[in-house]
Amino acid sequence: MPKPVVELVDVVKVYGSGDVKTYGLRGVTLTIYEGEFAAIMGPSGSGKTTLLNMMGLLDRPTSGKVVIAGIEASRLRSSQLARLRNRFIGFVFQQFNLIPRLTVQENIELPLVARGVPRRIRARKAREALIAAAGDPSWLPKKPSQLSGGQQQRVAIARAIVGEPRLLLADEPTGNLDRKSAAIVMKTFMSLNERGQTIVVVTHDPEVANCAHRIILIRDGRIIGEQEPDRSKCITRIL
Amino acid sequence: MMPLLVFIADALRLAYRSLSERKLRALLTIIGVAIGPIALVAMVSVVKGYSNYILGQLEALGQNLVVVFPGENYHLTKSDLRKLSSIPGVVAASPFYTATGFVRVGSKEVKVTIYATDLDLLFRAISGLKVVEGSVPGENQPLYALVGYYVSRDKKGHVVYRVGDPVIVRIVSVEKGKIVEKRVTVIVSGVLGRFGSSPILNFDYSILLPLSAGRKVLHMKEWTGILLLAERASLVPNITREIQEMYGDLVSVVAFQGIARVVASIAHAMESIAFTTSLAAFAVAVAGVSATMITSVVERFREIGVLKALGFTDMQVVFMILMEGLLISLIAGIIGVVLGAAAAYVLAQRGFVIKGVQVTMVIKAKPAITPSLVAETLLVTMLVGIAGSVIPAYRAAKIPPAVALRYE
Ligand SMILES: Nc1ncnc2c1ncn2[C@@H]1O[C@H](COP(=O)(O)OP(=O)(O)OP(=O)(O)O)[C@@H](O)[C@H]1O
Ligand SMILES: [Mg+2]
Repeated sequence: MPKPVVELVDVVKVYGSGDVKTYGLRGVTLTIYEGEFAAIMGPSGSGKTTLLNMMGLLDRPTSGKVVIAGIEASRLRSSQLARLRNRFIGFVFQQFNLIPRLTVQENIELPLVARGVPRRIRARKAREALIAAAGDPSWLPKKPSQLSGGQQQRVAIARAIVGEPRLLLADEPTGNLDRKSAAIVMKTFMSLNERGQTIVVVTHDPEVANCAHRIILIRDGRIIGEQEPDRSKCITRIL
Repeated sequence: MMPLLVFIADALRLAYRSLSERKLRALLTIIGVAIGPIALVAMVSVVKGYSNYILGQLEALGQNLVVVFPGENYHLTKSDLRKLSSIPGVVAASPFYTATGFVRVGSKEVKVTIYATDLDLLFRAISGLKVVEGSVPGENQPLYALVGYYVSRDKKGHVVYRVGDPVIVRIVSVEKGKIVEKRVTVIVSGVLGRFGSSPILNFDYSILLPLSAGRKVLHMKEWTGILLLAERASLVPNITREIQEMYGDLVSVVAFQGIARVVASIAHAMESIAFTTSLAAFAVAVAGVSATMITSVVERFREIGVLKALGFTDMQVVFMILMEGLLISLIAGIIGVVLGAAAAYVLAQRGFVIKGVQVTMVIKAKPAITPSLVAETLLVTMLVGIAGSVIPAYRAAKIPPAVALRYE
């Protein structure tokens, strides 16, 4: 039996209070296992980002349980959540979210800075992470603005994996990329997964979802089922 | 411990990066913050410089000396001298005469103060007073004089009067409302070393005569006052009180020590005023830092969300923002101390005018830029930076990462 990395049990997320309540999630129960590559697919506003935020401990559920690496997260203080995020989770965003005034290397090192890792070790790990994310070490001294969108997203992936997280979460990682760059990013995820990295990707693009092992369908804040991926329709076939 | 130190170093570096991204804004904020330390260093060091100078002068004038002047309708006599010298703690006493006169030194006529008193007592009381040529005239040599440094030579240093030379002194006095002029000739017995200008006693422009010269040469009938020498400086306040109890308003008592205490307390008050005034500038600086840092936090709303997603704790975010404020104020503090010191030298260059009874003089004293003033200024300035960043840092800590990441 594979070990669960993250478990959501009947998670409800309500935004706002009083009259203007919006449901982000209406009761989601979901387990992601070690080594899995899962895609969460659904239309806009269906609650994909909200679900990812729950799994990534970026936000607290209104009700329900979130268990990560065996730890029940709902009762933890925000500083403890931050430490768990730093240890266990890596994030990749649609807008890359690199810090423009820092070099590529400094951006990749950020999770290790929060951890207080000495510079020398950080520099080595940043380089390794960039190579693992299909990046080129020659980018290290550059500013993000000197790179293309696809290259920036690979830097963002390097930043997400530099701390060796148990779970890599990506929210529409290809949403801002051309098809070729999107294919490279998905190929990177696939090869990371082959080396054992657990990955959850949020997308509404079937060509992206079909690269995963498992497709979870979400609509209106509920999981409506799962779908078998068809790797022959994965976007990497264009490479 | 190690990870914490590593994080502190990184927070400082990231703060520096963030400041240098908006150079103009950082610069303007730094200028605003620097005004406080500039004002503080300039004002306090100049006031301290002058007060140190005056206090130094007063100290050289003798901490053991007490001078008794008769009141308007009182004449000091031999019996007063006896009474005063029997006060416990008084080791020596002598009457003295003073007059104002003019002496030709080279091409110029120089105004001098003439003292006739027990010269041994005077030399014992005033340690800064030295004879560099010749000797001190005895009590039986009323025509022999010690002349001040700038009486013996002109401003350029050309010697005009040597030991043995006669000096013609034009003595000017007011008698019964009329200006009376007398000419007397004295012989140089010795020359005084440079005393340095003093706002109270100006020995460089003086002629010192034995006590007997008061009657015989200056033709004065009344003692100007009586000098008393205390055994120890600590006895001076007691002696002063004793005399006041004995005589009430009939005489006035002057002790340089007392003057020194007054000067010290005035200087202290001025320093406090300078400090309080600069506090206003510091208060404005806190607001300035706050405004800059709030803007910076709002601009980086999303970025702070990203840092939190990557695992920076709220405390780490707070620390990074405080570091930014600290860096602003540290740079401003250093600039402020340097510019403040420069301003102090410019201010001190213009001198400080003291309008005395007999002379108006300008004293020039180096500003006292002490390590403790520099340290205190830097400390206060750094507190400004931290105080100004507290609210922005709190705001940054409260940013919910999920909301910040949605934010376009
Ligand atoms: N912070 C918030 N405040 C109020 N409503 C929110 C907030 N975040 C999400 N919502 C609402 O919750 C619902 C789910 O949003 P969510 O962002 O999870 O959808 P999504 O599937 O990621 O959509 P998209 O594909 O457009 O990114 C939406 O109706 C959205 O308006
Ligand atoms: Mg979304």
